[in-house]
Amino acid sequence: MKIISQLLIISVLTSTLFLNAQNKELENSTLYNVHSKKTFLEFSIGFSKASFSDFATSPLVYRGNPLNLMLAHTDVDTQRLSRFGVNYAFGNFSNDFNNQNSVSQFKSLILSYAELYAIGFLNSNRLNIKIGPHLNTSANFRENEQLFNGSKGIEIIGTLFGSINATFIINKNSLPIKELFFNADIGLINSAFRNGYAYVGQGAVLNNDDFFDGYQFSVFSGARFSTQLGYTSHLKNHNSIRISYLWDAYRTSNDINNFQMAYHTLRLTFLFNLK
Amino acid sequence: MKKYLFFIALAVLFSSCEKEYFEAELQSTDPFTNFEYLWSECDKKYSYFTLKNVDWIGVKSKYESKLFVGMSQDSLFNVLSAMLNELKDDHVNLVSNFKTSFYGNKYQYQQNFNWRSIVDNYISPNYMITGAFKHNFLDSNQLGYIRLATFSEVINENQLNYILSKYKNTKGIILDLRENGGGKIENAYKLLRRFIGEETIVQYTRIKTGAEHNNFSNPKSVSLKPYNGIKYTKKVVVLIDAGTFSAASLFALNTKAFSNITLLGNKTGGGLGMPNGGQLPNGWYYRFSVTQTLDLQQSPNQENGVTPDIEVQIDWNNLNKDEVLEEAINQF
Repeated sequence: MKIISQLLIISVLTSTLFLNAQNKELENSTLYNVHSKKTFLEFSIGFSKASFSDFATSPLVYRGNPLNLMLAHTDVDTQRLSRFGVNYAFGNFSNDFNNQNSVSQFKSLILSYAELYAIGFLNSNRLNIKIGPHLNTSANFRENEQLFNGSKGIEIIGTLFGSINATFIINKNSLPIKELFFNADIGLINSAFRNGYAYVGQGAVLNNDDFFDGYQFSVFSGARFSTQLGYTSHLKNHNSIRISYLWDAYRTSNDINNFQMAYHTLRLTFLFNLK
Repeated sequence: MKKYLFFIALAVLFSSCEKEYFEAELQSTDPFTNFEYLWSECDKKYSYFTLKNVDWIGVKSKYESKLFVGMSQDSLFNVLSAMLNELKDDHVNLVSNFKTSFYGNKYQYQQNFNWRSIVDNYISPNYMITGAFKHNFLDSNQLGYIRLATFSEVINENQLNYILSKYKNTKGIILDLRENGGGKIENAYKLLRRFIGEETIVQYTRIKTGAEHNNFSNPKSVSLKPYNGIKYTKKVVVLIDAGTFSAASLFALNTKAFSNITLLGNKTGGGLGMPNGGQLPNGWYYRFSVTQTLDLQQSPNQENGVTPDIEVQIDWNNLNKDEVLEEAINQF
């Protein structure tokens, strides 16, 4: 809770500085050109409502409110969008049922890279639609001490998405320029690196400390979808600020050890123009 | 305005599919649901059905008939734990917020360890404590006696260096693992490496890979390297009994690969399979073995108890004598 409070304060301070910079530059700047090529360094803070089930160890749903921090580098113009991002989420998930309180400490690191290109015939002066591949690797680390030797769970979910991104300029001739955007990712190739049939491995018995003993890599199994709806305000100083809602859901497969997880995230993003 | 609504509708459409897209939660206090779940998990993953000759379908019939709608949580716990105890395995437990089940294999056998008798008649109350070890000289300083009651506590190399240096000039060491309920496997390996002279295969292990009771991975060998430092490779006698369990039982099994180590006492309580951990639809927890430890002939039979080289029982009519320890002393 303390960390969340601190991050909230940092966010408010950052946005204040951000808007102050905008006001100072407002008087002598020219009209912001949304069509020019831009390079952004993005910093996001997101508040999630999330849930997961690891059917290898429990048929119950664990729910939590993890905090998301994201850093991304984006090159964007009307023809192309290239984006590399790192996201870190952390928090406690719990299931409280039948007077049994179960807690799972959760940490997740997500690396993503997207390369999208415009579809010419769909684009207009205000609407820009791009499609392309999006690679995403999510590594989750979970710990629930009550699960004995199954207390630690790690899964790495690798996904090649087909991605579509639509941006609609709401007001083009007045400042700040505002955009509505929608992004949908559909998992085309889904893979998972995850515990084997018995869930625990034999590393301790084999005296080799291999935590991943018995782990299996499966490809073309499972599914993943992700959507994001956002509102962006392009500021006079060429920086931008965005608020968005992100839904991300995935499951590994339909076998007895299925893992599934969903995030609903409200995200505040500061986009610092680097050029 | 229509365009805005279109964007919003798309986002809502996708996220509203979540329930359809996900497997349903099985949260329930229904006794039949929980019984079926636990029985089925064991059926698919427990590793010793064949060795223990358990008719698991028969067990289901026997205990399912004891369920009824509206039964109390305590009654359900008793039925589920009785079903699990048919596996006769102390690595099988059911844990709720009000009770923990256990089989208690060691109580099927005579107790074979009396610490007070050892202190009073052999090592004196002036024995030394080093970490988890209690130790002293025996038999006019010709032997070292080392007692280890658990492998759960920290065992570090400094402790072992101190103890083994202290007894380096003895004829042999008696390592007492009676009533040692186990703990960390790494501690068992750490200790055994001090008593061996060359790298040796000590056991094999395999893990469940499918729902059939005999679906296992190929056996993998486990070898131990001698410690690169202070060792004790003279004769060692390891004392065991039915309370020697889990990592301690594994230690006992591993000693069979070394000619300088003799097992003495009674067969161990088993517990050679590594347990998993899971949760029931009502939130209770369980664990049971999912691996098999195989001996050097690649047989899982030692799960029924690692047999000693020399079998000795304590005579409880004479509390001034530990027959097991006496026989160990006679080995030197």
